[in-house]
Amino acid sequence: MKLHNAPAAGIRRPPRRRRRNCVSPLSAEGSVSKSNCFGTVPAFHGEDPRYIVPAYNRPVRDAAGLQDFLAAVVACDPRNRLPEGCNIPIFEAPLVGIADAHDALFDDLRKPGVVGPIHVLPDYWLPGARSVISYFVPFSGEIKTAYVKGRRLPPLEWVSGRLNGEIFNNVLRRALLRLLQKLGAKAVIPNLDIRYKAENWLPKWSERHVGFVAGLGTFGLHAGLLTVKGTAGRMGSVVTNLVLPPVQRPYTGPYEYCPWKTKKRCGACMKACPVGAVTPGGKDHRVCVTNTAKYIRPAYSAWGYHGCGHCQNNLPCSDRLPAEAATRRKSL
Amino acid sequence: MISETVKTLDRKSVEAAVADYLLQINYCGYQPDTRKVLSVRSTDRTAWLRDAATRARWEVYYFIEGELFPHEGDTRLPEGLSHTEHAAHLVDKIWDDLWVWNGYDFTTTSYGLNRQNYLQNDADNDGGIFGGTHAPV
Repeated sequence: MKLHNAPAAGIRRPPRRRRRNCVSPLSAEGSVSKSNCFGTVPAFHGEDPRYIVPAYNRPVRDAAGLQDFLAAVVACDPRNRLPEGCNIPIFEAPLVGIADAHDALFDDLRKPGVVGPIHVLPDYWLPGARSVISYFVPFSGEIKTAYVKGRRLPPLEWVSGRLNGEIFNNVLRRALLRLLQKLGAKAVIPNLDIRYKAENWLPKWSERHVGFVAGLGTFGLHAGLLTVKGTAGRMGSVVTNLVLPPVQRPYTGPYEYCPWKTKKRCGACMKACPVGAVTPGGKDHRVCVTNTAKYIRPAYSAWGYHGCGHCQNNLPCSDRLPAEAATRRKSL
Repeated sequence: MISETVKTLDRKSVEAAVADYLLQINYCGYQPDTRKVLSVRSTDRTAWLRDAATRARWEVYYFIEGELFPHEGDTRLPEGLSHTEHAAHLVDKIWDDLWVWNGYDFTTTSYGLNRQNYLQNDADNDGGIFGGTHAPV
């Protein structure tokens, strides 16, 4: 008899790992001599957890500074753990990009066939907006290695990471908001705003497209964003009136990093999708969500999870750029 | 517009939890407790206090010091105000943000807080345990 809360068939439990102490991101000198995230202040991982923003005192004047800050949140906030099993970490250190709020590409996102007229400009969220901070946070190695190639169902770690990861993604969004407010700036999180909506898979604010504008990466055939930390992850953004130096995009075309889109090579994501949602023409979202509703939700009904990641895992672009794109990027 | 039939954050329990926190930390002087979080469960969206740790399934939580109340000293009990009065005042200041944050935290898709569009357009709906903002009451 199958236990009601037994993991779906094929789920491989990762080995129980000892929680690591994390380095101190809070020292202004960048010292990593302390054994926890908060230097002299008690922190998670053996000591009392606390919210990182009030104590964070390293400079955040550019994308690198913001990246350090979000890496500290990822490393120290106890919510970056799956609630079940071995409580493996959900995410690893993120990538951060910054766009000028008046970048002409934001206008292009409103064109039909890009996102469409439903997409709005940064000024819609925050009148007087000057910068848009976008980040990509990759799933942890533990979650990605749980994804066994060739199995039709995603592992529990993935479906849990998808939903619980999005809750932690909201923590990251709010941490950025609180940090910017601490610096005296105004900020708005479009995807946590009451005005946000989506219709027919077209959002009023697309995290992926904003990431493209902010220099994080280009799109792949599977419709995900290809970044230097791969495509298996989640994204977030905050609009602010703080003037921050925009990141120079190391690409020009929207599919520049995808070998299939540029040279008809690879196509691994087409082969990986068990229901043929990814085709030479791109990804059919309707096929994708129908698969989720018909097969994945029932398999994980006891857990209440859903979501698929075949087109983000076990691919040449899962945790890095495809080789050719990486070489081209380095040569720039 | 959010449908009136959806579950949303329970304000009374939020105020009660914050009031209880104020009572605790303003005893014997002002000693803010940075471990304390406001935890909300998905079943009925009620809130209570606990110490931060790995999340349980079907709950989300927010640090009281720094995340909910970003300014140092926000939780200090002012002269002449009771802990319940100050809690009501504090919650009033953050309520709109917290209500929306919590709604999104329990939303399983990227369709926003309007379930109507989601149901009409998308086969990927659950109306279930996790899709709390939109789960039928």
